[in-house]
Amino acid sequence: MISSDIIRGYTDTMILYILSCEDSYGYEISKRIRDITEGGYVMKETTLYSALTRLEKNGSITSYSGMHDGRKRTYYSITEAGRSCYADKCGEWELTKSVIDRFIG
Amino acid sequence: MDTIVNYIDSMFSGVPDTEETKRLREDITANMSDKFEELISEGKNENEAVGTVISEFGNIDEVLAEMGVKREGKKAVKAFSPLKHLIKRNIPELLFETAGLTVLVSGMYSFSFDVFWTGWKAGYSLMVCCMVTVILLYLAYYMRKRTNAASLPDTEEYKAAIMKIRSLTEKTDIVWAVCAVLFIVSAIYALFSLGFLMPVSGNLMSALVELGPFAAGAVYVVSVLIGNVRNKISAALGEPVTKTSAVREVIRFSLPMLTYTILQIWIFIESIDGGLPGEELYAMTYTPVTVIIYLIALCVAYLIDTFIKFRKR
Repeated sequence: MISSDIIRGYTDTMILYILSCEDSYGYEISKRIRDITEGGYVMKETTLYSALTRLEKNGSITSYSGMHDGRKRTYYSITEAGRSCYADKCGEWELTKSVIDRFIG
Repeated sequence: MDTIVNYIDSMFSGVPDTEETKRLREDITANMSDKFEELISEGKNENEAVGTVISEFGNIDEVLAEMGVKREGKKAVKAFSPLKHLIKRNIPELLFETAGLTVLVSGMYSFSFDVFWTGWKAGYSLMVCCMVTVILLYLAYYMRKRTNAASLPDTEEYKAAIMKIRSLTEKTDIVWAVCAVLFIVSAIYALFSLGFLMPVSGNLMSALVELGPFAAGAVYVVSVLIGNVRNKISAALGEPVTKTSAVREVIRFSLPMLTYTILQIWIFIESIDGGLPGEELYAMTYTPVTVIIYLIALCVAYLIDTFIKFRKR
């Protein structure tokens, strides 16, 4: 189980990646995260919704009401600003990785 | 699913009702219900699914902080009390067992007294009424729609809290059972030596002595209740019934009863020597016989219970 401290900086990034492929709603997003990480990381409900709130506030995503399986859902969609934010985050990770790798034996 | 909705309610208590929080609550409820259904379709049983869903919930205050929303009122989130949750889910079962036992114990004791105060017919009728009540209670209990013991969320704090409660009960339930035994022995012996269960009027000493069996009965009922709470906790933690825990349960449950029976048999034998009239001797056998019938009925009920659980798998 990955420590939540370590993953905290990148929860937004994961969500942006998923939304960059297609629009999605809460449960589907957390399910995709679990599938992509092959169970390596299960995002808590509240972590997911904190991130979604944060991303919507800073304009990286927008939301709209939709229906799925006869239930009302809130769908999220990535914005242009979100895409560029995602690109920045990717760059940040590459940099971080190269720095930390120097210390890995 | 009710448990999940209750959990969400308790998490959202004190949260002001805005567009945002309403939407959040709807979304979270929809998510958790999706997750629950998916777990069920994967073959998990309802309690496991509920436990998993709740354990993956997280901390609502994190989201509220992002939204800039503060809880109303002085109290922070009411902690989801594990003991309350456990008791609520198990109250019917605990009530049935305690009520049944209380009725039986009071039946046994009142019989012992009534037979010498008002004649054995009245005592016998009271005894039969108590037995019938107990049997009906147990039938009602076993016929009702059966639910598994409430499963617990998988968080560490939860488990730690519930195991702490259990360790407390572990220390006490055997003590209660032993106390019940001691009470019974001293009460019966005192009554016997004070004149063979005849009501002794007037002085404080005799009143205290007569209270002895009732006190013993109360202590016994409490010991069974504590033991049952512990069993519910073990069941909820998903622990299998081990041989030692089963033996411990049998001892705790039957030790006071058996003591009472043995003492009654002893009194019976003594009264044969003492030359009691036949009718009263006959009446003396009722209590030990009743206790044995009760224990047999319990074994049968337990076997039926186990059989049904086994079949359901």
